[in-house]
Amino acid sequence: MSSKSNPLTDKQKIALNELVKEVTSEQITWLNGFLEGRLAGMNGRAVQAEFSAAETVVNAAVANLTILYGTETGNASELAKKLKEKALFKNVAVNLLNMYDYDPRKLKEEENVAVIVSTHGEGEPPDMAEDFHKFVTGKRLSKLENLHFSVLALGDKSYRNFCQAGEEIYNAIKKSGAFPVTPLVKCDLNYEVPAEVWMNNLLLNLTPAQTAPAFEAESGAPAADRMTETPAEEFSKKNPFHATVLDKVRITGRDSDKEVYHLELSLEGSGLTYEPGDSLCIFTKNPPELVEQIIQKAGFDPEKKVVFSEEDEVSVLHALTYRFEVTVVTFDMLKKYYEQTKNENLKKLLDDDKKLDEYLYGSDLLDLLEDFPFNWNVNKLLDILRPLPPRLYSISSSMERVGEEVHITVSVVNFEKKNRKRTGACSSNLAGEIDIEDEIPVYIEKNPGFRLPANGAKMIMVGAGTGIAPYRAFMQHRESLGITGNTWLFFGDRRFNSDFLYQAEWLKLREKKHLERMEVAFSRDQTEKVYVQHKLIENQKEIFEWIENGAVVYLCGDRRNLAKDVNKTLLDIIRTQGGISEEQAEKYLKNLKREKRYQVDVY
Amino acid sequence: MSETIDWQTLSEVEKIKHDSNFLRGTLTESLADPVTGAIASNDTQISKFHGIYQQSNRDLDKERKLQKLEPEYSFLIRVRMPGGMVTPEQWLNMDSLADKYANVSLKLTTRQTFQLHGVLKKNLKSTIHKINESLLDTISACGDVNRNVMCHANPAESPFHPEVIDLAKKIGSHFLPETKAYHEIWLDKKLVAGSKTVEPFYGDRYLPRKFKIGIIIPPSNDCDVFSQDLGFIAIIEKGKIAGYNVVVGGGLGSTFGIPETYPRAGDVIGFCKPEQVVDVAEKVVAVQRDKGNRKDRKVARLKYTIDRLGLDWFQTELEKYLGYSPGKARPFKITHTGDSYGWKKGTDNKWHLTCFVEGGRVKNSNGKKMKDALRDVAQITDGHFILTGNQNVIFAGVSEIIKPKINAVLKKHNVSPESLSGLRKNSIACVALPTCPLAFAEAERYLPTLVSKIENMLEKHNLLKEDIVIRMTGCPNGCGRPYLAEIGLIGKSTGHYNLYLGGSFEGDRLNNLYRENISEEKILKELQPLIEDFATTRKNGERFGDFVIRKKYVKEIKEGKEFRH
Repeated sequence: MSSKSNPLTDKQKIALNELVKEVTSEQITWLNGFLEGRLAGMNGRAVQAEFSAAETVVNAAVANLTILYGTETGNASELAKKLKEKALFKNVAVNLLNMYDYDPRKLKEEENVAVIVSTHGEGEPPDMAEDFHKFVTGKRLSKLENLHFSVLALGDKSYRNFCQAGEEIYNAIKKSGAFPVTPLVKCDLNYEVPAEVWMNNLLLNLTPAQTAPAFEAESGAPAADRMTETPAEEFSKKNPFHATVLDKVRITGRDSDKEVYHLELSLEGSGLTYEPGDSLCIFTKNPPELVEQIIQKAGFDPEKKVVFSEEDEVSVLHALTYRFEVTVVTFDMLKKYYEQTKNENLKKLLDDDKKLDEYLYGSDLLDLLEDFPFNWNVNKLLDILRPLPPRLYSISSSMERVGEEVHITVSVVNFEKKNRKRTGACSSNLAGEIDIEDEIPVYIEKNPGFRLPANGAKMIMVGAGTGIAPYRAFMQHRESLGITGNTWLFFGDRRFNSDFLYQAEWLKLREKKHLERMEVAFSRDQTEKVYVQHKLIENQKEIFEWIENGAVVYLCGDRRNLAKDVNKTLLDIIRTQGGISEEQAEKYLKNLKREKRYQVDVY
Repeated sequence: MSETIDWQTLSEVEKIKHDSNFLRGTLTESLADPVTGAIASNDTQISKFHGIYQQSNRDLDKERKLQKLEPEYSFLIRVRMPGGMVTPEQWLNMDSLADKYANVSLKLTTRQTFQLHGVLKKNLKSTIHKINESLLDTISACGDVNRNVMCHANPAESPFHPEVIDLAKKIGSHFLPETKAYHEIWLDKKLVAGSKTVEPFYGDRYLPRKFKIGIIIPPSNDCDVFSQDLGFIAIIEKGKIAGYNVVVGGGLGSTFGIPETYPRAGDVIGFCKPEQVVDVAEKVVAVQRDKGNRKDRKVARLKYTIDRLGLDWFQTELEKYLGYSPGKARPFKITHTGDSYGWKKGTDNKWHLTCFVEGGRVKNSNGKKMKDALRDVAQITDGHFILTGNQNVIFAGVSEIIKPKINAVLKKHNVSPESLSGLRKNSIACVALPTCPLAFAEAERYLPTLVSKIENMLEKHNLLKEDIVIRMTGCPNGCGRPYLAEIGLIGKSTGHYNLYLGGSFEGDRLNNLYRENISEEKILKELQPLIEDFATTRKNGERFGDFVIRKKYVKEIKEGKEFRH
């Protein structure tokens, strides 16, 4: 290099030599960014003019960059905007989002992601970044080998856990296989200079836009989209898939007297697919305390072997826990019980329909053993029991939104009868023993009679309690497809403060106009009971207009109470608003059913 | 008007105020929305002008987020009652509202008024309605307007109390907004057809920021006159109020990490006659209305306007608005900011009892039934109640016959005035967690415990009776006026506080940062040697706040601008 081509003064040369003598590669990256920023600062205007002239020619972006920020005071958002400007100036296509509006599942499709996030309090992320933080630091983050990313962490050194949120996000994304294009940069209150340097560095090191995706496939990279993979085996009722529990959280507030859980299960690698409206079937086991009491009452040896076939031999304890229904008593079973025992009292009961109905509701096998004592032989007793059936739950997610996951909403069956606490076999198991990372045998049951209308048509969704579950799936689906409006949700439960299932999600959906309207009825918040049917009546004029304009009406929830009342209310509305007779109203509703515009899923 | 407003450069709240149709916003729609316990985000700004803040139970925020439930929203309702005077009937009304709609307690604030906490959206209207039925209201108890006007509280200490409380009321009503939004929304008063709502004084964007006014009668500085945007110091000459010294530019709020914000003690700029007070107040507020910063709310209070344009500028401008010059400030002497407790007979020959209410929280708690006691007093007293600027209450104007009966009530509920330490007597704590959205750390729920621990150290050095002003807030916004305390504690994060020392006992000097972001253990460890040194080397009668400056533990703050967090 001739001395002429080097514009530095002698003094500067010495300083430069001194500087680069022991410089690390990390430091060079930093210097690069620093000098770049200096240059931009000096001739910013001139360069900009040059570029804008070129803009009309160059329209393909050199790189794609998604900028995500999580801010408490607004600093991170300011910086994100600044980065966007700088990136656009370099002809980078930018997608700027706050973390609250970003679905972290999309990370696997990104090429370059810049994260700017602050830390507050005891090392916590800002409110708007909480979900993002939870997702990426959780076990659900998929492999992100194609992602290039960088994190700018803002913080305040006077706090402990300085910049912790940013650091955790950085480490989590890095761990997933993504490539950090710059080291993590942590800033104290005077963040301006390091942030500037970080931006310049980041923009120098973006991975170019993937122009030839076909090339990607040839290179033999692992298929990113696992959903297209053919699984090794097919899962079904006979061969259930063991789904891992990804998340489990009680979603009723602490002062609720109802226990409702939201569970998220992984279907990764199963090849199982479902549509909104479908159900998830779960194989379960009976409550251990009940099984123990039954064995004791019947005087069985729990370890005694029961033989079902040559290869199938299990203990009594195992059989009663996993193979047979013991928490529910059916008419059929009572009859068989009588045939074996010839118990006189049972005969009387079987002859009295009203008493029989009362007895069946909430009774279990232990009740039978206590009420109609008999010296049972194990095999004889097992003969009259029906196999333990899987439990069905309306799926509360859409694959459009959650990918290879399935979400369910479980209300724990818990009640007392004859001074004994009773629990549902499956719900109590899911609420109790089952924990995150456990595996549950499942399969999908199609429910073609409960489907979203085509083309984003109008829908009125009526649900109480966990009956709201399929509507969450419906709304996730429409949200993912970007469909707004034409949706009206009626929800009922006990208390606004603690039983408003998925309240935060409905509010967000309403804010974004995917959910057009929502009415709520909370029965125990005032002296007089208010239920969903009352809300239907209040809005009857518009409901009828919606129906006349082609709306599909959905009803989901409890068969015993809700279904009857809502059905009657709908008939009333059709009669009054349509100005027709009762018979005509019934015909009208029947017709709606035939046209699949009145779809019911009650249990 | 042809003036075009560049909304881009202004703070967002300016646009919200402008678009609110004189403080209506979409409050009516927000109240009717059953899907959320919150009101629309813009309405949370507007509701403040109606005396209502949206809050949430922060103890549950995290848990409820996981449960996919919205935060447990509720509202704070602040009453407007200049000078803090209420009748027994009004007290009973507030007491029953606290039970029926709020969290079964009343907060007595540092601005001599009541706050109800935990009122649900669906109960807001009934609560406001009932408050108004008892002839109190909540108009402009918060918001960018003149707030509740404070004045010296104790009739036993000064025969001039009736005069200043009248003045406080007069100033208060002078600055009331004229919009009828409040009456329409909360009291179902119909908008009269053709009636045009205008705000001849405020305009449609009201003030750039809140504005606070307080009046004191020396030697008591119970309203912390130097913390007010505008203060009046009564000057007593020849047995009557000759007029008032005018104090401008006080204000305590500041923000961590933004050195352009700082607490500032007001400047005495002159003197006015009693009949000039309302005019002077109007013109001071008008200068701030016209010249205050509407771009950045963090530096919008009058104190920043004055520091930005200069005190001389301000005085010249004020004279222009007034059309005359205020007189020269007259000498005065103040000696304390705290309340003096116990029964005292006033020149009106009535008895007045100043009653300590820890943290200003009127509630029943194990053994001490403060709320029951005050309710029972309201039922038997032949006087009235006055709330003090130190979060305490005075049973004022009690006759000789009723006095022992009140004593009996207090005894029955185990809240008889006990011998309090000089530290506890002079303590103030803001609400902070769990309801205040601004709080980084505990204050009201925690200060009593910390005071007990410091008391142990004081007792060892025979300083238990020594009056020392201690104030704690959960954030740097300054509701509890921590910056004027001898020992100030401001929350930084859960369990951690900045420790400030060197405020004056009289409330006319700011304190200075001594230690940053420390835990209880550290606070006690830092105070221990100071207390020991104070006990052994203090000068005769020297106050703790003066002592730490003389011994150079902290540097004296002469101007707000020097203050750093």
